[in-house]
Amino acid sequence: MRDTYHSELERLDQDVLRMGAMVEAAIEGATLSLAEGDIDRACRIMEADDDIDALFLDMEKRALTMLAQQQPVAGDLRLIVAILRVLTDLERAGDLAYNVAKVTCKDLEIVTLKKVSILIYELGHASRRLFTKALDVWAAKDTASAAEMDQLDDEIDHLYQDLVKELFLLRDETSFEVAMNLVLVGRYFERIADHAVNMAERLRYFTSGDEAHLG
Amino acid sequence: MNDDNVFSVKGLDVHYGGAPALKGVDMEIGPRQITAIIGPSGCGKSSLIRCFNRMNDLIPGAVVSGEVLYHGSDIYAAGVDPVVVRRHIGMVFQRPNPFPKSIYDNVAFGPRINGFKGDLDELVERSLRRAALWDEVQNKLKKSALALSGGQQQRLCIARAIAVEPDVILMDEPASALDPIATVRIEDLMQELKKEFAIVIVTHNMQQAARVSDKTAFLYTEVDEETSARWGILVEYDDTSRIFTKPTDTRTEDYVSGRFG
Amino acid sequence: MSAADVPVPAEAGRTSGEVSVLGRRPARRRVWTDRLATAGLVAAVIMVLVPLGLILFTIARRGLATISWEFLTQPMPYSLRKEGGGLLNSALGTFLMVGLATVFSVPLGVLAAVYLAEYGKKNTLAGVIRFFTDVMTGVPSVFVGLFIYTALVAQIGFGALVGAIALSIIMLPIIVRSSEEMLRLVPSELKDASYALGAAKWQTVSKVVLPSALPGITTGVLLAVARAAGETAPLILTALGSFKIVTTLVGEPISALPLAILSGARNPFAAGQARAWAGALELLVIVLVFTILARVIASRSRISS
Repeated sequence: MRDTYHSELERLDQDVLRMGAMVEAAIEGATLSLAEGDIDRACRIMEADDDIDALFLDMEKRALTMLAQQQPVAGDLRLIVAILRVLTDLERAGDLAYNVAKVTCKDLEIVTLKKVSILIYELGHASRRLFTKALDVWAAKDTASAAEMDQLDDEIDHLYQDLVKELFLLRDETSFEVAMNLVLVGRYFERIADHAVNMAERLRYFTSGDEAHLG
Repeated sequence: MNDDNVFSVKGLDVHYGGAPALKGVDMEIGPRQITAIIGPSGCGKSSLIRCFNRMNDLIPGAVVSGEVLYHGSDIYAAGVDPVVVRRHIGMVFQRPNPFPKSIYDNVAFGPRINGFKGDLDELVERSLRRAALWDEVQNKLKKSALALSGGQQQRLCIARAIAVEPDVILMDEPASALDPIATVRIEDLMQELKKEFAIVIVTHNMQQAARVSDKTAFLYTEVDEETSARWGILVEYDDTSRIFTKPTDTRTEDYVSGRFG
Repeated sequence: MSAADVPVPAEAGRTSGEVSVLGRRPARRRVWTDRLATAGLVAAVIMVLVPLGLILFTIARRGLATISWEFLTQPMPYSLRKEGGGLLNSALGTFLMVGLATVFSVPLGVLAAVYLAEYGKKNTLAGVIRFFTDVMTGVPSVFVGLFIYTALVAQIGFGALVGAIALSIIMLPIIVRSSEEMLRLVPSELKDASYALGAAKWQTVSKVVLPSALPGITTGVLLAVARAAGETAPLILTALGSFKIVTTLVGEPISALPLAILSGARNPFAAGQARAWAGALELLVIVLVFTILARVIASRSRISS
């Protein structure tokens, strides 16, 4: 019964993963483009953010329509509410990847700073891995594996601190502009990681129905 | 056991002519709140609510076993007169059923039957006010009740039921025969009435149960594979907010999500 | 949708490339079968109405010649040959006996109906009562007269009381059965509402069921009265007939309109026969009034609910 409604709900759930994949690609691509100084790639990523935003608006609208017209309750209601919250995390993560790509376009010649570009790459890669983990947790609707995410999150925090330290050491060789931008990039990756952790939290509401505060 | 409870039901079984209709119901109805009973058709919701005022006695072949305590006294104990039981418990039915008498006589019927000696005019006015009908009928109390609209008739039936000053009102799908506006007025009225009365409502409209009630009981049918006999059981009984956000039983979850009806 | 929007159907019998969804006109044969059937039914109705109409017409024509104020207010003349006089004694006799019969049969009949509808319902006693009541509606009324004659007249003589008893036996089954039907028609929801308010069974019956069924019961009673007013055979053996205005209930034979009509019709004298026709008209009017009143009450009660 109510097949149309339930299959629509399923499609919405699947589209979360679809959007997640797009954001995942953006994070990966932004990291690489910055580490290698690939401006073309960075521009492509910036354009692709439009698609992410469009999908976000579409999904949000579909979720609100379902709330209004189908009066979902119990598990269905918790799922739609969780999806609506996850959407904002996904969209913000996408914007952050966009910001990273924008830094690439400034053509700051980071490639020459060997140690820094390695750190940037590792930081970006780690946050991408954490994001992928969040998507896996969401796809499996299984909060058990969310425990490992804290570990990854700590690793990202350490990498960020290493980056700042390295930039401080190089303060005579690099311009202020470069240092500023790279610190910002570090922050962007760190915040992507935070959003990934949030996504796992949203999932916990769906499965347990508990409104626990975000850790 | 909380003696504050209006009703306390233990091991309630109902059979009609040997065929089971309801088995093993345990539940408590608290004062000054609205309890909704929901479930698919044929699961025994009406049978359950009719046990609370022994209206099932009127059906030939109906057998009720178990305990139904009304403020601590078992209404099915030997020697209890069902007529007396019904004087304390009000009931409103699915289709408005005012008597073909004047509005005044409808409301005054119950008190007169029970030998009321006080100011009948005042009692009628008070009951009509509490049923949110006074303003519309105060000038035509002597007119036939059948001239009122469906929604007004139902509110008249509510006034009639509360005129005998029960402390609990049973409602068997009170709004299912009414249009949406009349339904909303009945629901608003219930919110007012629950300040004084315990209300038990049977409804097949889940959204109504979600909107209106404080606690919800979900009944579902069990089937005996060999005999194809079907009867109702109480699956879950909890705060309405929990039933509609995180029910414990999958059957409840499936029913409220509309996965079956 | 205006007339201009309705697609024009193709001519019947003609095939055309485009036939509208509304279809062609119905086939010839179907139309004629329809008309034949309608004509047949109308003819049947006319055949039924003709004798009825003739009766009414004849009575009215013959009776109107003699109806007058004198007729209505004067008793029968002792000499049947005489002109003038009236049927006052018979009219009074009818009113007296039918009135008494009503007083006997209505309470008894309605209470029996209450038992059948509310208390007995399906049990054996109720079944027996229903069976015998149905049988009684079919019993020839002369049997009733014979029975009362043997049972009562032989002991206490002819009179108004025994005539009324005979009539009440005729009225009883009609009242019982029609009242039972009317009581059954009271929706059970009303009874539920009454019980839910804490009313006992008898209170529900007397304060809700009976008042609700009252229009229907009244209709049944009026129809029974109309029937009783026209009964002749039972009165022949119990009331016997008389020329006088009688007010005693026992021991004195009394006249009634049907009896007067019968004796007047048998009369060789024109005056007597003329009075009989007038009596027939008077009785017809009485019966019509009660029947129409019954119908009016029945239809009004349906409208109000």
